[in-house]
Amino acid sequence: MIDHKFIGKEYPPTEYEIGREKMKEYAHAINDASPFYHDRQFGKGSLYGDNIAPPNFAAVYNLMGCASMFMDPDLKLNYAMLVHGEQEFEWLKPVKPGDVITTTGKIVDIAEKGNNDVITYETRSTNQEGDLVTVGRATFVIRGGN
Amino acid sequence: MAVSFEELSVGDEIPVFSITLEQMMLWQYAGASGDFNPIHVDKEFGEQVGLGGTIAHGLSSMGRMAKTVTDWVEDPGRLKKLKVRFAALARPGDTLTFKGRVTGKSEEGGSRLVTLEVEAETQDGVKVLTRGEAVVEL
Repeated sequence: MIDHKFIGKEYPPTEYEIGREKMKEYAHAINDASPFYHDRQFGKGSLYGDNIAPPNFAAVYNLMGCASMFMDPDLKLNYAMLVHGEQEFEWLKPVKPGDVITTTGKIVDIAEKGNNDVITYETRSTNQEGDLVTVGRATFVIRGGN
Repeated sequence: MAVSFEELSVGDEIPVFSITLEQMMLWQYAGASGDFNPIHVDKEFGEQVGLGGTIAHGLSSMGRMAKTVTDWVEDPGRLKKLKVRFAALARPGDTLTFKGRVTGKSEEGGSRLVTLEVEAETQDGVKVLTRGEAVVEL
């Protein structure tokens, strides 16, 4: 069982600069050929004025900070038994090449379900203008309890 | 043709997306996402830890689920929310099918939102993504 005193614990922000080729590579890896990501002229002519990142590129810029929780020496998670149970992303503004995204992570819930421990981790990403662009909510299950 | 809010009804299904996974796709996703956990890239390691080989990244299935919805609305900026549960493992050789069905329509403060239930399953009917929900703004 994980001590519930860690509910509310926050982790230091991570910074990620969105690269045009990197987000295209991600789109390619999920078989997504949309011109919104791949065609510069199309992007320029779109209502966004540029290419935008595939929404699920949040798996990279929004979730990268998870490592600091996984390796947190106070929390001592049994990483070998950890599985990603659920993921939710909420997209508030499009993300574009050149955007510098700052993401903070916070443990918002710790619960026991059967033999398993479940941690809910919230990640909030803002762009260089301070606008909130993406909110993630991940649940991680530690099978057999921590 | 673009999706029309007026013409949509609860129960409408969106076009499915199907793909057969290959190990190369898992390597590509590892490179694109930075997640090189050996359970995704190293067959021998996957066998040693009792997984019977490599398993696909759950987030790659989520990404393909997002693609299925954004292909339907023809504008990825319209996807406002996606939630999935990683219910089962997918492996190279599996053919995954991604599906969505309209469950609700609402208009609030000038924005027109459509809610869908979404899921993904293998060729054997094993649900890989369950309890999925997507919200798009039209």
